[in-house]
This record gives sequence, C-alpha cells and structure tokens, in this order.
Amino acid sequence: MFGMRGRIFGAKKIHEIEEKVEHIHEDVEHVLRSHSGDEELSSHLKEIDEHLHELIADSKSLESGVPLGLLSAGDEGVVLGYCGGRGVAKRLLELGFTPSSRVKVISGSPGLLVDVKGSRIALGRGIAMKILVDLDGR
Amino acid sequence: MNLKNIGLYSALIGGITAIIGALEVIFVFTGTDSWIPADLFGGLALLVIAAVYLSGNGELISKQEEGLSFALTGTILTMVFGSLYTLIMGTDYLMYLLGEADEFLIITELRPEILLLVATLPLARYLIKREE
Amino acid sequence: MAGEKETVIRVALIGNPNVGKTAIFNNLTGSRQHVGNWPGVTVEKKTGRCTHREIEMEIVDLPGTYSLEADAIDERIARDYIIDEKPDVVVDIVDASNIERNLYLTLLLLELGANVVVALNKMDIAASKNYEFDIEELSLLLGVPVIPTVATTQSGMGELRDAILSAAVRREKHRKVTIGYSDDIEARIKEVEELILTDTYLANTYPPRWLAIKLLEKDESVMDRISSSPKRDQILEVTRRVEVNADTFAEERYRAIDRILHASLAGRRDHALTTSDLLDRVFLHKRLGIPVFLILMWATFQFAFTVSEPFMVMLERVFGWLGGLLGDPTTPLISLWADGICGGLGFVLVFIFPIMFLFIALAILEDSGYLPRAAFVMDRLMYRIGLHGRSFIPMLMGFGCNLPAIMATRSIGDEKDRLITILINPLMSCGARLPVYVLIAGALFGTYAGSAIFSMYVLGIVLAILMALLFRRFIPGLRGKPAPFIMELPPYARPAIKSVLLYMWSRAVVFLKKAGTILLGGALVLWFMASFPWGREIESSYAGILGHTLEPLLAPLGFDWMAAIALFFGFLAKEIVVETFGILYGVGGEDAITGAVAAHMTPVTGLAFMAFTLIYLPCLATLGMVKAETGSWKWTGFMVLYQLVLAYVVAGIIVLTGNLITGVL
Repeated sequence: MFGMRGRIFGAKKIHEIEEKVEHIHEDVEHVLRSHSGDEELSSHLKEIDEHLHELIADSKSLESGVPLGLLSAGDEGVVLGYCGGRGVAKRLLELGFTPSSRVKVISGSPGLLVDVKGSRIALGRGIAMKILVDLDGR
Repeated sequence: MNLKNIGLYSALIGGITAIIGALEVIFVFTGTDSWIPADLFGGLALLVIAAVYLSGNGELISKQEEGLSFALTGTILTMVFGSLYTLIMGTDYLMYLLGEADEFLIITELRPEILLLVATLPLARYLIKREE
Repeated sequence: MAGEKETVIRVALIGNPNVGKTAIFNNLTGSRQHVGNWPGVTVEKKTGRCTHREIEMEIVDLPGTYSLEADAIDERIARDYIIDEKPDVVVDIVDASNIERNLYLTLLLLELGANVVVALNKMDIAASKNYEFDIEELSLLLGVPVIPTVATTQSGMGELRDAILSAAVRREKHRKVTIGYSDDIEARIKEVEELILTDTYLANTYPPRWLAIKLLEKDESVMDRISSSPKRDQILEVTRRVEVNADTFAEERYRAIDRILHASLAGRRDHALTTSDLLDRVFLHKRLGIPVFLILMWATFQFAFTVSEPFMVMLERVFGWLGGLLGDPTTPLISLWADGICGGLGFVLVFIFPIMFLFIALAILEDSGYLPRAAFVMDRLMYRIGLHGRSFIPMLMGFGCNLPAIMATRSIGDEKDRLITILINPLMSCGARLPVYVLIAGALFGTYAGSAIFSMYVLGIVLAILMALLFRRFIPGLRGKPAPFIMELPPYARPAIKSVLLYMWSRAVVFLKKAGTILLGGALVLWFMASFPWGREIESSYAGILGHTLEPLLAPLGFDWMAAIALFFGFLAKEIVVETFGILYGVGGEDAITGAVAAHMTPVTGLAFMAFTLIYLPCLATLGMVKAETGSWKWTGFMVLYQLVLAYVVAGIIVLTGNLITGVL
C-alpha cells in the first residue's frame, strides 16, 4: 500500500536535494571568502545558508511522512505538514490540522472522513494527498 | 443478540430483500402479474438496500463492531421505504374513498417493502437499545 | 462610541458553522428563522431586536465562519462586520461538544479586542460525551464571561441576556488577559506593533497588536487596509525582516487552547467511534454512497408526488364547487370568477400539496444531517467534471427554489467555481416546475408518472454536469481547476417534527404569497387574453393570436399554440404554465384537464414539453438574483442564451428519438 511513498517523498529524492543544497553551500562559502569586506552581503548570504539547512531538516522530517489520502478507514497518524498553496494550508490550519495533531480516518477512499480534534472533517482526495502524516508505530 | 447473530439475521434480510428487488425488476420486462409488483425503480432501490445489508456481513460474523454500520444503515433505509409504501397505502385508500380509484385491494397495497419493515423490527430494537 | 449611554446595544452573534447560532438568534429575538443542519444556512446577516430589562438590543446573526480570514463571501461578511461596525458586544457561540476547534475563533476574536461573551452551547451533547467543564476556570483563562447554554431547550438564555447587558455596560477597552505566543514571536509582534503606534490613524482605527499579528500572518485584506498609511513601506519592510512562518500562529493558538482546556475540562476522551461514524461508513461508502443517495432522492419524489394526490383532489373539488356557484359563465364577470380565478388561479393553488410534501422530505434530509454527506459523496463526481463539492449544496437547494440556492453560492470561495455553480443552478428542477410535471406526467404516463417526474430531475442533474464540463473547458473566463473539498460534517441528528413542519410551512407561505401576487396577476391577464374580444372562439382571442404567432417557432418540437402561450408566460413564474392550461382548455377539474392534455399531446411531446419547461429559462425572480449575485449583465445574458438553445436542442432530441422508437414499435 505504501509502495507509492518512494515516488512522492522517497529517500532518493531527499538525497538529491541534499546534494544540491551542499553545492549551493559551497558556492556561498566561496562568495563569502572573496567578498569578506562587504558586511551586508555576507549577512544576507549567511541567512540564505541557514534557510537552506532548515529546508533539509524539514524535508528529512517529511521523509517519514505518508500522504493522508493513502490511509484507509481505521488508520491513525500524526500530521507532519502540507505541500500545496497558502490558501489550502490556511483552511486546514483553522480546521485544526496543525502539525503534530492526531488524525484518525473514519471512512476512506477516494475522499476521506477524518477525526481531528474531535470534529469530523471531510477531505476531497486531492487535498488528502497533500497532507503528510506520520503513521503510528513506524 | 450478539454481533454474530446480528450478522446472520441481517444476511437473511439482505438475501430476501435482494430476491424481492430482483423479481420487481424482472417482472417489469416479463410483464408477470403477481403479488410482488413490477416496479423498476422500486426494485432497484431494494437491490441497493440489499447490497448495504450484505456488505457488513464479513465484519459482523467475525464480530467486529464496525460491521454494525451496515446493519444500522440498512435498517434505516428499510424503515424509510417501508414507511413510504405504508403512506402510499393510506393515500390509495383516501383516493378510493374520494371515488378517484375504482378499487382498494389490500393484497396489492401490502407491498413486500412493508413486510420487510416488519421483519427488521428486531434489528431496530437491538440498535435503539444499544444507542441508549 | 461617543455618547455616554446609547439606548440601543448592538450585539453580533458569531461562531463556527452549525453551532446553533440561528437557534440562539431565534431564542433571543423570538423570530423563526429556519435552523439548518448543514454549514452555510446563514449566508447573509440577519437582524432582530429584543428588549431585556428595559434596554433595547439589536442582534445581528452573522454567517458561520472558522476564522476571521475571509476567503468566501459569507465569511467576509462576518469578519468585516466585526472589524468595521465594531458592535458593542460580540457573542461568540461555541459548540461545547467540539470545543477545541471552536475556541480557535474565540482566540481570534480576543486578539481583535472585541467585547466578547462566550455562549457555551450544546452543553447537553457535551454532557452525553462525559465532558465536565469548569466554567469559572474557563472564563478566567479566557478573560471573558462564559455562559453555558442549550439553544434547543432555551436553557441559559436569561443568563446570556444578562451577560450581554453587563458586558455592554462594562465595555472595557483593554482586557487584562492576553493569550500569549512564545517569547520569540512576541518579540517580533512587539516590533511591528511599535511601528504601527507611530501612525495615529492606524493605531486608532484598529487594535495595534491585532494589526501586527495579521501583518505577520500576511493576511492580504489587512495588507490592503494599511495601503494608504504613510508608514506603509516602513511597516512592510519590518514585517518582511522579522518574518514568521505564518503556520506558527495557528499552531501556537492551538497550543494555547490545549493549555486552557487542560485546566478547565475533564472527561475528554477522543477518537471513539460514534453512531454518526457508523452511519458515515455506509453513507460515504465508495461504492454504496452514490446509489444510496439516488434511492433516497427517488423516495423523496415518490413521497412528494403520490402522497399529496388525495389532498390535491380535495382542494380541486372545492374550487370546482366555488367556480360553479355563480352559474354558467355567460357574462364576462361570471367568466372572470369561474374561468380566471377558480379555473386558473385555483388550479395552480392545488399544487401547494406536492410542494409541501416535497419540503417535508427535504427538511427531514437536511435536519438529519444527511445533505452535507450527499455533497461529499458527489464531490468525487463533481471534481471529475470540474466542479467543487461545495457547489453541490446550492445545487441541492435548487431542488427547492433556485433563488436561495443562488444566494447560497456565497459559501463557495473560488470565484470561478461560484460563477459556474450560478450558471448551471437553474437546471436543478425547482419546486415551481413540479406542478408542470405533475400535470403532464399524471395525464400521459399513468402509473409511471412518479418515475417520469424523477427522470426530469435526473435530466436536470445530467445537463448541469455536462454544462459545467463544457463551461470549464471552453469558456475562457471559467477555465481552471476547482478548489479542493474541505468541509466539516455535523453529526447526524434525529429531525424534530416542529422544525420540519416549520420549514415546510415557510416554503408554503412563499408559494401562497406568490399565488396572491404574480400568479393572480398572471391569471387575470391570461383570462383577459383568452376571453376577449368577448364572445369569440378562443382560437381568435388575443391569446389565440399571440399563440399562433409564436407557434411556428415551437412547431418543430410538436408544441401547439397553447403550449407556446404557456411557455411565454411561464417566464414570469413557472407555475403559470399550469395556470395557462387551466384557463385555455376552459374546463374545470383535474380529470377534465388531464383529458385535455392527453388530447393535445402524445407521451413523446409531453416529455419534450416537460424537458423544455425544465431548461428554457429560469423565472424572472431568479434572473434578477443572478444579475445581483454575478453583478454582470454579460453572464446573465449568457445564461438566458445558453438555456434557450439547450432547451430547444434537448426537446428536439427527445422528439426525434421518441418518434423513432414509437415508430419502430
């Protein structure tokens, strides 16, 4: 059932991202060394560097995630995050799908009915695939 | 009643519902005149209800509480259709009193759906008790 | 805000969808708005008044909303009212049985600095879940009064009124309790807030802390609000610099809620499978969901059509008797009474019964909580055809009347989704079209009448789907993907008889009002046209002349001149189609008119006529609503055009294939 995982947020892809970030990191270091006098530039660059590493950390935590849409009735999980636009994320957050909240699937596929914070939320399949959860006991 | 018995009973009702539903549909095409009416949509409705009952059987017989969903919903649907035809029976009687209908025969008015409603009463009783 | 004592206290009711806002509004004001068990019943604000302890309150019921960030129009109405109108007291209605999610809005209101009174509603349901609230503690932690209520039994209403009054008197500007964020975030809020305080206009118009938080959350409509500020660039610059991940705010608010509930609520045990969940496993089942929906709809129309029959017969006889009171229609005056009023208007009035029964069934479906499920089940189909699942609710409401249905599209966030839903909504067969089907199907299809009527409803749905698909693909302004489906499903509930009857009666009143105005007027005009010049045959009356002029247009479909007039006047209101037949055939009683219909139409043309009536034009009132809601003559005109063409094409197809089949058999 989770055969699709590899294709969506597989270890391979994360690895590729990591490599690319490492490249950028090297470039940044290089620029920093050659422009050591310019303080504004170096502070900006350091910030970019930090963001990049945060990105890797984020993607690593997402690595263990499964799209909610792949769960079936009875499964439970913990929300890790979303992929997708601001508008959707906003709606999900106000409905209680905050990171680290528990969700339980009441009725599954192709749309889902889930329990989150005691209320029942119906999610279309499209949106359910954009919510990443961590399965229990994994 | 325990879950397994509920499962067996709803399988029985589901089976009967399916047979009557199938006959109602078939009779539309064969033109058979019988106590079971020839009614295409009515028959299809019964087939759907039968499918609901039968879908929960695996779970109930293996004593999973989730299987009650199907028995519960099936019972509600049988109630809806049974009440509908009971109401229609009353209406037909009124029409007869008004002189709009030539005859009022209890045999044609007592649709199988109404009898199925009676047959699900034990299930309904169990489910209401459980709810309380 | 200026005067020492205002005579009227302005109170706003706000809350998540489906928390019992309308019920509390009814309790407070004594009005009788229908309470629906689905989100989006209240799409515009309603106002009522009440007097408590000799002080007058004006109470505004706002549309349900989850947050104060407005995507859909109904949410924007709620939010703008709180921000711009600044009501004296905001009553935040919180569903006690679903408190965690509900308190989110409460926190937002507190952040906004509103003068909040929390009504902790549905305490009975919470009690059945074994929730035990420490009300005092909750009130202390939130820093506002908390009043437990049960809207359905009116309990707690007196206390709520008292709390509103004392809150209005107190009207403290700065509450002592603030729900804080983590130190890091607070520091950033502070920085933006200080900058805002340097612009006196902004600082006086909005609570500075709220403004700072909203800016950090990148709320677009708030960005608009500061666009005229001289400090705008500076503010935006700082906001960008101290950037906070916008999700953090939501996360931290829920963390705060967790803390509050931890201290004030005992007995919470989540994740138990409720009876609602058991039902949803079937009603939302991947294979059974749609068939179950279809058979329930079929039962609904069977009920509306068959059970109402004897009542129609009875009322018809009353009108037949009334019409005969003055003797034979030999003078214009007697004819006006017998043919115009009793034969025309009376004939339409009879159809109040199928309408009443239809709404009993729809009210039961709605109050039980099934309708949002139907929307969700259909979403899969809807999404595939490029429509949003939320569109399905206005579509279902269209079965009742297209007018409120088109208003209900306000709950659809995406403009394109909304426009498409409006455009196809009139294809949902409304209650006014039912009389036409009942008459014609009853005359031509005998025992299959119920199924023939059902098929019209199905035809409407199918056409709506096809049109949505076409519009999405070929109309430049409507291309794109539908917004995703996210919706809270309320728990199932046993429908209360009183509420069902109230709903039915409110729809019956709408029909009666229509009968007293537009249908009466239609009957008079039609009677005049059919009877004058006095003494002539109906063929050469004004109606006959008009009908014969229109006839060539519709002749290819097999409609005669009487059908042409019926359709012509049916534009005013669809019931007039039936009224026209009543007057033109010049015979009383359903039996006689049924016979006349059977003489004028074959089953094939009858079916085509029903389909044409379904599609050809929405009624005048609906067109007005479409213009109002789209704000565009272009789209309104487009709607008229496509429906006329579609009606002609579909009726043509029915006639062609029908004749082919009957020719072969």
